[in-house]
Amino acid sequence: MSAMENTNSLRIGKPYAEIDNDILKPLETFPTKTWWIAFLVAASALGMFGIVLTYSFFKGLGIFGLNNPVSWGFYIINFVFWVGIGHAGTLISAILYLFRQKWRTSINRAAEAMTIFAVMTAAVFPLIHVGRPWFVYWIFPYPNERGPLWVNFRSPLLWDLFAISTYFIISLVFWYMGLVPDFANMRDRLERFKSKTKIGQLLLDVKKITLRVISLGWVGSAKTWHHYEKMVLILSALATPLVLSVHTIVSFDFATSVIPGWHATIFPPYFVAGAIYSGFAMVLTLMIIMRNVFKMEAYITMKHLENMGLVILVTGMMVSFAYTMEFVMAAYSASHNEQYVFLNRLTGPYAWAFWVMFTCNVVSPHFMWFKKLRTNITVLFIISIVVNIGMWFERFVIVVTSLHRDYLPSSWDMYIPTFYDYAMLIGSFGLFFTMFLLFVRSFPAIAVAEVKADEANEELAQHH
Amino acid sequence: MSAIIDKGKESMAQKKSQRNHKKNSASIWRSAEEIISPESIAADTQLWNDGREFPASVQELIDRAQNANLNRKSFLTLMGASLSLAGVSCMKAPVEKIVPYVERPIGHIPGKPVYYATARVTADAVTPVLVKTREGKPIKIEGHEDHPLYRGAVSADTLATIWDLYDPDRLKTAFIKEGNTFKEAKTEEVLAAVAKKLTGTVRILAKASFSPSERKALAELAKATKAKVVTYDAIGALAEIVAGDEASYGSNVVPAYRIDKADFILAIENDFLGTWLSPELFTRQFASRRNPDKGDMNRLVVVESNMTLTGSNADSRLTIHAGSHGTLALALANLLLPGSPLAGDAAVRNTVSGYTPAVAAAVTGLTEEQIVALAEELKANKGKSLVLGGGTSSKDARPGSLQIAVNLLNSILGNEGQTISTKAALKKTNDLSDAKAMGDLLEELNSGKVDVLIIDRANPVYELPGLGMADAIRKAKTIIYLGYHKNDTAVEAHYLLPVSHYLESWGDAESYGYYYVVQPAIRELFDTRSAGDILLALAGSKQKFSDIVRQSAKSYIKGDFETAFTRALSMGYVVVETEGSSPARKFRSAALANVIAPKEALSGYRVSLYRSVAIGDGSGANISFRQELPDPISKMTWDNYVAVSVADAKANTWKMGDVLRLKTAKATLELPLFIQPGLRKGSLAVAIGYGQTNIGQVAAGVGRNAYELAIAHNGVLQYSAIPVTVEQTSNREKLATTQKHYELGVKRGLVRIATLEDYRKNPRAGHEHEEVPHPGPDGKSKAKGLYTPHKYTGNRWNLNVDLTKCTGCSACVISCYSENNIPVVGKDDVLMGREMSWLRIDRYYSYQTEEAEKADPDMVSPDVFFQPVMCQHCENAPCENVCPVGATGHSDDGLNYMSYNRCIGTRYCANNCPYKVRRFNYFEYWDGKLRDPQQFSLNPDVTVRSRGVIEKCSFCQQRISEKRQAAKVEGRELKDGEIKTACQQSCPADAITFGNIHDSGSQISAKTQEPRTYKILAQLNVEPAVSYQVRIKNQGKA
Repeated sequence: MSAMENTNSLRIGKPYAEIDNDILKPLETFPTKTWWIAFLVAASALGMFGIVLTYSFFKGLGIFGLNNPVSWGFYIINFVFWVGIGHAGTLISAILYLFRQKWRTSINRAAEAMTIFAVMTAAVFPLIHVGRPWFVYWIFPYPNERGPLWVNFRSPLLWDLFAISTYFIISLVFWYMGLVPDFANMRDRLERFKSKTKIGQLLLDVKKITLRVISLGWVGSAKTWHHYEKMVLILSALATPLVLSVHTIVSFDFATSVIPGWHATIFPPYFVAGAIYSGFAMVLTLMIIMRNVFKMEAYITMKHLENMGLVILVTGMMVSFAYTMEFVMAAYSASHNEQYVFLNRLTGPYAWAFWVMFTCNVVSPHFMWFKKLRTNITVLFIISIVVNIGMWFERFVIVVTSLHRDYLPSSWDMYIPTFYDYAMLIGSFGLFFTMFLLFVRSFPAIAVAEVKADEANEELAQHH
Repeated sequence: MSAIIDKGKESMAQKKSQRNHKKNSASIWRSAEEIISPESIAADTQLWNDGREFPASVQELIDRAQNANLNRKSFLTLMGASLSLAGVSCMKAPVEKIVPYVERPIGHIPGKPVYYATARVTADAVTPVLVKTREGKPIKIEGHEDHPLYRGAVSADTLATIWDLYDPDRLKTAFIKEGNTFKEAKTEEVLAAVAKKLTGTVRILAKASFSPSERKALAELAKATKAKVVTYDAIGALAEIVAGDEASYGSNVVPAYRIDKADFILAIENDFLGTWLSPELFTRQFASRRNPDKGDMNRLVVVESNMTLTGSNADSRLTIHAGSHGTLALALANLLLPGSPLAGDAAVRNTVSGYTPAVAAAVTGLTEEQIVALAEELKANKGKSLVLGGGTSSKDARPGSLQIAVNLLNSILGNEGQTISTKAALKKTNDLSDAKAMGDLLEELNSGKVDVLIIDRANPVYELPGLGMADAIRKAKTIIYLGYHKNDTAVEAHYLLPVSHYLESWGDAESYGYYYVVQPAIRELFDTRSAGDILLALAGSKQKFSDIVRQSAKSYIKGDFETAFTRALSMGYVVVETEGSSPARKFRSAALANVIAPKEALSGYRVSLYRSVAIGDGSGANISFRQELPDPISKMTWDNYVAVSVADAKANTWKMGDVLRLKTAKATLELPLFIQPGLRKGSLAVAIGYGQTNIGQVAAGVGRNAYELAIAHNGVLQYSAIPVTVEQTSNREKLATTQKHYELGVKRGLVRIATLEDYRKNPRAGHEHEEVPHPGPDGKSKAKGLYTPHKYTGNRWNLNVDLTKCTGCSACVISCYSENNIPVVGKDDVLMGREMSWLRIDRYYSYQTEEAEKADPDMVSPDVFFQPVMCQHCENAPCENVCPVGATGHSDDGLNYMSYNRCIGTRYCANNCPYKVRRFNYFEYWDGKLRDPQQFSLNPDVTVRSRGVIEKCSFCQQRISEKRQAAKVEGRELKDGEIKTACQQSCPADAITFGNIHDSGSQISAKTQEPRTYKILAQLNVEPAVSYQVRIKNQGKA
């Protein structure tokens, strides 16, 4: 990757003011028709999510396709899927920052936002998938009056709670700190806006005051920048292990169990690789849409997209390696139950899900070997979506295929998702995209300050 | 009130106000007094609703509101009323009084169960039971352990009678038909009214009864009304025996089958462990001789065309073509005749001589060698064997057909008098079922001669469609129906008289050398009467039925009556005749003319009707627990189906759930098919008891009525091998089975079967697929766990199931439902795979060798293996550490407990349970779902679980606590065997042992140390507390 840095300059070549104008334009103008349509679609899906959720609260989890061997279905699949998506953001902003990958600057803001929203979407599922959601607060360890009852620290579900909440908080702080210089920029730019109407002026004032508060009195002095840079470095260092820990712990939900197909030591690295894989695919999807809709081709260049394509190629191969290893381990295990589960994945009633996963995750990233393909927007876009379909099916294969045929053949059964399962899946995208669409309208979707700083550095480098 | 009206413009009120103004000769009024006068008020109200300001009733209020010419005033009035009514809801909730016992009944301790001994009487048998009552309400049926014959044996069907008592669809009061609808009426009044109507030609249609007192009452009614009593029994299990015995021996008793005395049992088309006569008693007797470790092991060979519970428990099961049972029996007789006491009987010889092994092989589908070998085995067990035959699916066109052939075999073998005894037999069987009288009655009905038809607890319209019963009955002028439900027959009646449940009424019964007093455990819940009382009242007798019972008892009870009667009440039975061998009856060869035994192979499809273990004859079908009890073999719930052989399914490419159309000459029936291993090509089977149109909310419309396929031969119904044509329809139905897979059972070490021979050579036989947990680092010790092991200070509970004894009869399953308040979920949720049973019985098909499996691609004779699976109460329970809120944990006596209140329902435990015994409440199954009086059937000692929590077997924790507390109060240690789990208590096979393994002298300790013991999935190192004993099959010398 270092070779790319030298050969291809990331220089934008625009005056700073123009960069400001370009990036902050969606925030300072009335939303376009495209945005409105997208928002309405997303909000409707979110509405469906809310309705189905309410219905399930009143009626019971029986409305979903769950049954005795398969006690976890779409909810947990969606949970793992969204947590996985939520990996790329912090990886881009923290790990790539530490590795001085300059190309990250254009995409880190949106990627981090995606992380936050994906983790929020994911976190909803474990809370609502319980049988008695009105008691879900019992899983939080806080001093209470419920006698000696306390959470069970041996339960991986509890570890999940800590892992995800820690990750969420750190990601949120990181994201917010990154936003502070841009908020200050917005605050300053807002001074030129005047409204003719009273109400408009009032709204403008609210916006101004809010921005003043959340930009924490940023003045942009050299000293401020000095402190700021240090803090970002420290936060990056703190966030880096979290990128690895979250999905490791999520994988413990499965790995520490006794169910064949779940009980595997390969799960932590396999899950992390898968998470980055799907996360980058999602970033790619969003970036391609964003640069087209908001005309940000100058900032999110083909270079960025190509790099992300390469990350997908690498992580895709890691995931493929993990799949292969699972089969090798099963074959080598001399355990009939273990072998059966993998045979069942290949040939059982859910074999189609396995082959969908295989095609999407193992075959599709190899198109990225070819420069022509990985610099073609359409190909990139399709592959980014295909990868996420594949990654959703990977979780389906893990959760459903392992559970539906475990130890006692007498208990084997099928899991057939109901309308409500699909509604919640679609609804979760509604939740995510509603938040994301609101984000692109109210926050700078590209880190303006960082882009400008890089631009300055590039300029200096070229002058020398 | 007039103050506001001057603002009105065109209303009536305005005109009135103008009038008032004029009267006061002022256009502007100054005070209320000026305008309000008595006249003005009168005018006011006159204007409104004919002078009545306030409506007389709520209905009038509503009417007024709806019809009101809503002017402003009425609108405001209604608004005001609505507002004030809205405030009414803030009133205090109505006080619900809970009244404690101010004066406690003597001897009654709240919270302590009281048991009553009584007996459940069916058309086939009498079962002694104990009724557990709490605070005066019966909550559970238990086996009567002190009964010398039954020793606690009780069937699933009998256990389910507790719900019959609380069936909300029961007849709760009398009904009188008016036009096409029934009108409720007081039973007392209807009885009096009906008693006057019993004039003209009266006929009584009744089911057979074991009760001497009911017979007396019936006789009294017959005498008073000059009625003829016709008894019939559509199933006819007992009637077949009587018909056969009458023909072959000239005796009309149903002999005592001494299964426990037989070393070798041959059952021909006979389901004595599942549905025939008293399956619970036979199971007890049969299982008492299944002790391979003690060297006491009987051998059971079953010859049958359908896969029954008995067949699945056979040591050797020979599958024959439907309808060939007679042939096989006579072929065996032919082989055994030389050298037997009947060898000299030319008539016998002539009859059987045509049935050579070759002929029989061609008809039955077996090989000649199999038939000869079977005969050899019978020969070797002369006098110690027992041949059983008969039952629903062998009911031929001639009464007692198979029974006669079986009698011949038993007489040849010298079993008559030994394993079949007329001592302690069922006597007085004249009135069991009378096909001729039934034919006469039909004729009389059809010719319109019958004025009054009294139907006593029979359901002929449903059971006898082949006889045209419904049309015939309608010709009677008055029909009086006595029964429990508004069933298919009852809806044709003019008067319905509600009969009390046996737990509410007095009664008695005599069977197999015992006299039983049926005593009520609770007063009638509704306006019902015992059948005896109704019969007496109709007869115009002033006697109480309980007095008749006492009178009847006098002839059975010796010594001082009052003391002895009280003792009989507390014991529930009186021994009349002790069992033993009897002189052999002499076989009459003339009877053989009645045996139906084809000599040529039968062609085409032949369907046999059978009774299922859960639903039986269908009279108890309205109990959802019976409907949801999986069939022991097919594991089907909530439906009947046509069982087809694997060979037929392959040949026609039928799939499970395809709907087939079965056609006889008279009837057509469409049923989904179920591919059932253990059938030969051409054999089909359908369960009766389903497809009732009227009975109650639960059973109405479930399944199809298979009685329609029965063929009537002069009033005799043929259920066996009815020739049908089969067409596949384009429809498919979903089959609600609770178990869909049976493969891999052997390979995974779940199914462990060994032959007796192998077991004798190697007591560890059967454990070939045993897998052990990964050892510790030294290669020997156990792998060390992550967490500190549990410490057990006192007791540690373990449970063992002896799979050699277990027959899969499912009594434990129903007992568990009843004890632990387990909900039924209904067909839709069973289809989803959400049945709630804490204890399920896994059924596997297997073969002893791979060669045997390959040799039988059509699965004609697989081994069937039953394995009851409940929570295994693992030492290292995988469910315990995954619960984020610690709702499931480990007690210091080795129980894996569930605290429902703490459970939030993550279902992680259910996923991580390798045995999949944890059940989740996907919906609310209890609260608001119970129909009065179902709530009384709940066990107050067990929490009723709400929606969203996991539940599972608790080893009947409440029963452990009960006994532990009792021991503590008495200041002693718990005795071994004192605690019995519900499943163990009801197990007719005595297959379940429960106890403390820390007590080295306990039965459970002995059991778990036997070489046959194994634990399923032991390789996971979860260390279950439930162990199983290898199933030993006695393959005999053959």
